[in-house]
Amino acid sequence: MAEASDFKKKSVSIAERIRSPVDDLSENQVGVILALPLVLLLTLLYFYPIARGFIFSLQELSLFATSGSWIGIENYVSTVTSSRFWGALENGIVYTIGSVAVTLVIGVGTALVLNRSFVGKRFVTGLILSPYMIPVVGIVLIFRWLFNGLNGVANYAFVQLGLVNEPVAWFSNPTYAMPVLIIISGWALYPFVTMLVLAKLQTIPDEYYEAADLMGASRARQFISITLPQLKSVLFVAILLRTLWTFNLFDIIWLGTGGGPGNSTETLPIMAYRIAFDGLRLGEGTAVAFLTFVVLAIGTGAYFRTFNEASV
Amino acid sequence: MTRSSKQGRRKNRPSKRTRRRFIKTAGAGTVVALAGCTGSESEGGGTESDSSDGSTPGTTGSNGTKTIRVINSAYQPVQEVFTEIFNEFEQQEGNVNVEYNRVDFADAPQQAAQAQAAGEPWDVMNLASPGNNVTAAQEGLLQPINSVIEDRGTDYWNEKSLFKLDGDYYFAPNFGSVIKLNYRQDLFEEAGAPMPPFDSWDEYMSAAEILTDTSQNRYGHPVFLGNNHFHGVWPMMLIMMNGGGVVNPDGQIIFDSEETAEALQFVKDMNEYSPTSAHNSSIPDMRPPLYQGQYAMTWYSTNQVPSDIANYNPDLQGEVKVTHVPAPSSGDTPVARMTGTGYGVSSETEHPEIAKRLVKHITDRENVVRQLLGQPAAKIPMVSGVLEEDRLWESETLQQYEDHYRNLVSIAEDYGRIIAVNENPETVNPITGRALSEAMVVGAAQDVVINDMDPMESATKWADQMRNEYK
Repeated sequence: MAEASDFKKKSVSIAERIRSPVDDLSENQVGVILALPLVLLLTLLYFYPIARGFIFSLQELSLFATSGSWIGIENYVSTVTSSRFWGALENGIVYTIGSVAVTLVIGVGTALVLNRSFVGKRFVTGLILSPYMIPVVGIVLIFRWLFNGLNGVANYAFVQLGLVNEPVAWFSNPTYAMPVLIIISGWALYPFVTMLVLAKLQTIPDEYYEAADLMGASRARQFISITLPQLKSVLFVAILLRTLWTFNLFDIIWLGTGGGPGNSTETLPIMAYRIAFDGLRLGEGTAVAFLTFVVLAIGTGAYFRTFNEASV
Repeated sequence: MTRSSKQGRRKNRPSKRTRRRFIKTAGAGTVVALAGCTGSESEGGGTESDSSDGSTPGTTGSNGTKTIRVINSAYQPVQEVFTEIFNEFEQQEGNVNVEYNRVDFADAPQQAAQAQAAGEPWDVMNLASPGNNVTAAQEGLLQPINSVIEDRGTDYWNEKSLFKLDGDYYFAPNFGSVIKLNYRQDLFEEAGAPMPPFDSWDEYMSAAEILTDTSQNRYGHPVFLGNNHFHGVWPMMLIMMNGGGVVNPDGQIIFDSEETAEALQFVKDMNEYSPTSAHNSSIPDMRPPLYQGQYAMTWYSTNQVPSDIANYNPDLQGEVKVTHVPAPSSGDTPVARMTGTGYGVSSETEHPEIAKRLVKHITDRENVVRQLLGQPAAKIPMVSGVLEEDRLWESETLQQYEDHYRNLVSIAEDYGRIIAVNENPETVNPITGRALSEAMVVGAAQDVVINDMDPMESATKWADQMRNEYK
């Protein structure tokens, strides 16, 4: 009995000795400890620069300067009261709606084609997805060459076909510059929608269409009544992501028109860049960047409230 | 805070900049994602043995080798010459390693600011434009290099290219470029247009009109209205030639003047003989149409005529001439905007004396000749006596383009002005110094040509903008 008691005491003693302090923590506390390194890393690399950026936006600060002077929300006030900001916002909305619409139409169309069986499907799939593999700079250069205002192939073709009387300055005329950028963006970015929609199309049971055939539904009716409702959730995500990305897109516009002619294709990211890096006014440029974030946050919130339930 | 006090503070400040600059750099990343904007660990772990140059351990290797980081935006062939020159400097010095980086023209100021912000400044830098140099010096990124300039005597340098701020020199010029008008002599002869040099704007415009034949897709003179400050150079020159300007010596904005409005009206009138496609032309696209026959004349800075002829149209050998952009009338003095930036030394360098010796080495006359030969006829010398150097004329290209090149240098000598420095004889001011002022000038031209705004209204609008931004 005494031996058993000794053994029990020894066991408890050993168990106490090997017991880690972590064993005393609750599951939640352990979770916090495990997540802490990631939280610290994110704080350092993500939130801290953003916080510093916000501080810059409250300062008059040159890109060359070693210190700034506090001016409160003056950068924000001067930005939102300038016509340039509202022009850039309007350009961004037009560009985003146009580009997203083009990517959706082309993306859904090509996905519908690829969802069918035909000879050379693999080759066509590769071809359709190829814009995603070409660097943006290459795509824009090709379009600039095609649509060169003096001697571009597009002008030559359009003049020969009698569509225009004289070469059109596609990138230099405020009327055409934005539509050309929208076409470039649509062409460069539609494969994303294609891939998303194609994946969803392949999960729609054939029985739905067979039943519709039996009931005599036309192809158009099948598309409207079966395909589109099935695609709703995917399209919701595609539109959301494409909108966010496109509104923040910098490279295509910068390489295509640089925001010109004048400010006719200047969007908020381009405006932020030009102010911060061409104008050397880091504080004001950062304020524009933060306002871009606010605009996107409001837009995203409104989008969720309007379409989220409908997409489920 | 005044400019002087800022500089004074910078000069006296100990080297504890890394943290604040790092976070500033990181913040800049919230505007646009910028690759490589964070600082890296210093190269050496050893102790500084040579205290004569004020060194600290940061860029001194364990074997005592000191690293000097250099930035410029030289074109490819000239980069190779610079590499040779730096190798020679390393051999001369014995314990110096020159780390040379070439950045794009437009990126130079950003790269310099970011490197400084990240605590790893470029020890020796050429910031690609006088405006950037003025701003960088005013902001305390650079330190005076009076000894470099004065040791050689001011006669050694092209007087126009020397830059002084509050009595100190900040740059040692090597070579530069000048804005000039290139024209196709064959097209002028074919069209019977008055041959340059022009005595007045009337003659200039008359030639543009005669040369324009839209049925042949040919235009007399392009009007560039892109958003880069470089596109503002031509209207800026026109305004200055017409007696106008951006700011007077007292620091007051004078952009909203009749002279500005007249010059903007001239830009609009010349637009009649320009293709619309020129309006948003990128900088590299400003030249090719001249050689392809769509422009009869066009303006530019770096003289690329020999290489452009070789690349685009070898048949044009001898047909592309150079002249100055004319003044409004024969009684006015033309203005040719000149850049002669040169090399400055970082205020944060850990090896100031070595950096200054390197600047002297770069601007040695013989080395300047070598740099010019890297891309013959492209740049004009900013140190004296270079045209008398026999070695310069050993170049086959310069032999072929001798008259052309001498004309180019004459334009700089006769009409050249480094606007940032020369606009106001006694005042180097931030407005003319910054590239931004040219960006605003082109903004005014855009409003007049693209948005059909009245020239005086546009001048007033942009003058107000300048007052607001530089208040």
